[in-house]
Amino acid sequence: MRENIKKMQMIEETQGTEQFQKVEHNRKRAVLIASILVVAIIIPCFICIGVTLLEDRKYYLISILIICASLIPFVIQIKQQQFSSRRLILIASMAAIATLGRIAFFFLPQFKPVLAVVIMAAILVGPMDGFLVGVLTGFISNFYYGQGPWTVWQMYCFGLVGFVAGLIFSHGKHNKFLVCLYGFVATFLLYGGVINFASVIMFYSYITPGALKASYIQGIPFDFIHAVATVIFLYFIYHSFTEKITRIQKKYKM
Amino acid sequence: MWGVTGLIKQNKVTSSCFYRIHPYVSFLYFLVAMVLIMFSMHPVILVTGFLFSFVYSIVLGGRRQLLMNLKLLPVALLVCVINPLFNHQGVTILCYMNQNPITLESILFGLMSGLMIYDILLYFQIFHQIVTEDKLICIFAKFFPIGSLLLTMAFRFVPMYRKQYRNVQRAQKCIGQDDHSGNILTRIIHGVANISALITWCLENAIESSDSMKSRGFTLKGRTYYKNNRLTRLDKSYLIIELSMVVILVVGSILKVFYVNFFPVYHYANTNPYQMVFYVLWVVFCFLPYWMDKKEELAWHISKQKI
Repeated sequence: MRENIKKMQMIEETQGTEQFQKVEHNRKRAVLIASILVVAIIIPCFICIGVTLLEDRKYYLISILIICASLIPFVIQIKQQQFSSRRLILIASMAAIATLGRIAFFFLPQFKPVLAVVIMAAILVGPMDGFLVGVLTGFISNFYYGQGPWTVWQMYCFGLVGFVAGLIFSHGKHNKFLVCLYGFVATFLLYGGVINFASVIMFYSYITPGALKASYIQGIPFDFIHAVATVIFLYFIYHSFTEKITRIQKKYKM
Repeated sequence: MWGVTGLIKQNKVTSSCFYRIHPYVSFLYFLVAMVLIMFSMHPVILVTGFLFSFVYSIVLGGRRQLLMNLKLLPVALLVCVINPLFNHQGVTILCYMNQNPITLESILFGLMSGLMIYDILLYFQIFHQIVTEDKLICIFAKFFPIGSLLLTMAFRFVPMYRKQYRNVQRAQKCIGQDDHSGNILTRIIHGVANISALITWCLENAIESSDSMKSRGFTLKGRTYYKNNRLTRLDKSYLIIELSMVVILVVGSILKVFYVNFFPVYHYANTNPYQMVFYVLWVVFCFLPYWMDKKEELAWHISKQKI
C-alpha cells in the first residue's frame, strides 16, 4: 500500500509538467477521433445489414444496436478520464436528485423535472458529466417506473439533452433566460423528436410515412407539456443550483 | 430496497432456483431469449416465449402479476390493430377501408408484432424480479467499473435523499414554511426552499463520502472489492449447458430456421425433421428457468422421502 501511494505521488508529479499534459491531451484526442470514425463506419454497416440480410424489417434490433454503437465514444472517453471520487459522487448525487424528482411528480404525466436537473448538472459541471447524469437517471428511475424496451431510448435522450447543454453553456456565460429557452427547444425538438421516432419503431414495427406522421402529431401535446415543465423547473431551480454547485466547486477546488 | 428486502423476506421469487443462480447464467438467458424474440417473427418462437413468460411471471408474482399482465395487454392489442390500418402490403386482400386495402398478410404481421411486444414486456416483468440491481453491478463491474460504481452510489442515494427531504420538510414546517398549506404560490416557494436546502445537504454529504473514499485508497492499484457471487459447480454446469444451447440456436438462426416472410406472401420454413430439432431446442431453452426450479423441487422431494 505504501509503495502504491509513493507511485501515485510520482505519477501526480509527472502529470504536473506541461509537456506530459500536452502529450496526454493529444493521445486522448486521437483515440476519441478514432472511436468516432469507427462509429461512423459501424452505424452504416448496421443499417446495411438491416436492409440486406434482414430485409429491413428488424428496425427494433437495429435501432438498439445503433444506439449502443453511438455510445462507444462516450464509454471510451469515460474509461480514459481519471475520475476523481468527488466528480463521481457529484454525478451520482445529481442522478439521485433527478430520480427523486421523477418519483415525486409521478401523478402528473409528462410533467417531470428530470431534464431540468440534467441540464443544470451539464451546464455547471460539464458535457460528459451531464451525459452521465442523464443516462444514469434514465436507467435508475425506470427501476421504480418499470423497465421496458423504452429504457434504452430514454437513457439516450436524457443523456443527449445533457450533453448538448454542456457543449453550449459550460464554457461560456449563461443566464436564466437562455437556459430556459434551451430547455424548451431541446425538450420539444431533441427529446420529443427522438422519442416519437422510437415509439414508431417500438409499437408499429413497420415504418411508413403515415405512421410516422401520426406518431409525431400525437406526440405534440405530450412534448409540449414536457417542455413547459422543463422551463418551469429550470426557472425555479436555476438560481439555487448555480449558487450551490459553484460554491462547492470553489470551496473544495473541483 | 430490493436486494436487502429480498434477503430478509423469503418469497416465491427469492426461493426460486433461477433467482439464486449466478447472475451470468440468468443474464445470458434473458439476453439470448429477448434478442431471439426481437430478431425473429417466427410463430414458434413467439408463442413459446409468450407461454413461458406469462406462466413464469405468474408463478413468481401470483395474482398481482396476473393483473399486471392483463394491464399490459392493451398495448399489444393496439399494435395488432394499428398495423393493418397503416400497412397495405400483401396479396390477399380481404376488404377495403376508406379505399385502402386490408390484407391478410398485414393482419398476420400485426398479430405477430403485437405478440412480440407483449412477449418483451412480460420478459421485462420477469427480468425486473430476477436480475436485481446488485446482480447487474456484479455483471458489469469487470467491464465498466466506473459505471457500476456510479450505479451503486445512485441507488443508495435515492432512499437516503428521500428520508432527508422528509426531515427538511418537518424542520421547515416548524418555522412556518409548510409546503402543504397556503395558496399555490406560497406552496411552490416553500417547496423550492425545501429542495434548495436538500441540495446543500446532498452536496456536503457527497464531498464527505468522497473524502472518505479517497482516504480508503480509492483509485489505488491492487484494491479488491467485495463480491457476493461465486461461480459454484452447479453454476458452471448450467452455464455450459446454456452456452451449448445458445450456440446451436445461433447456428439455427444463421441457417434461417427461424425466418418468416410476410410480404408479399406469408411463408415460413416448412417443418421437416431437422428443423423440428431446432424448434424443440428453443422450447427447452425457453423453459430453462422452469426446469431449474422443478429440478430443485424434485431433489428436495426425494431427499425428504429418504428420511
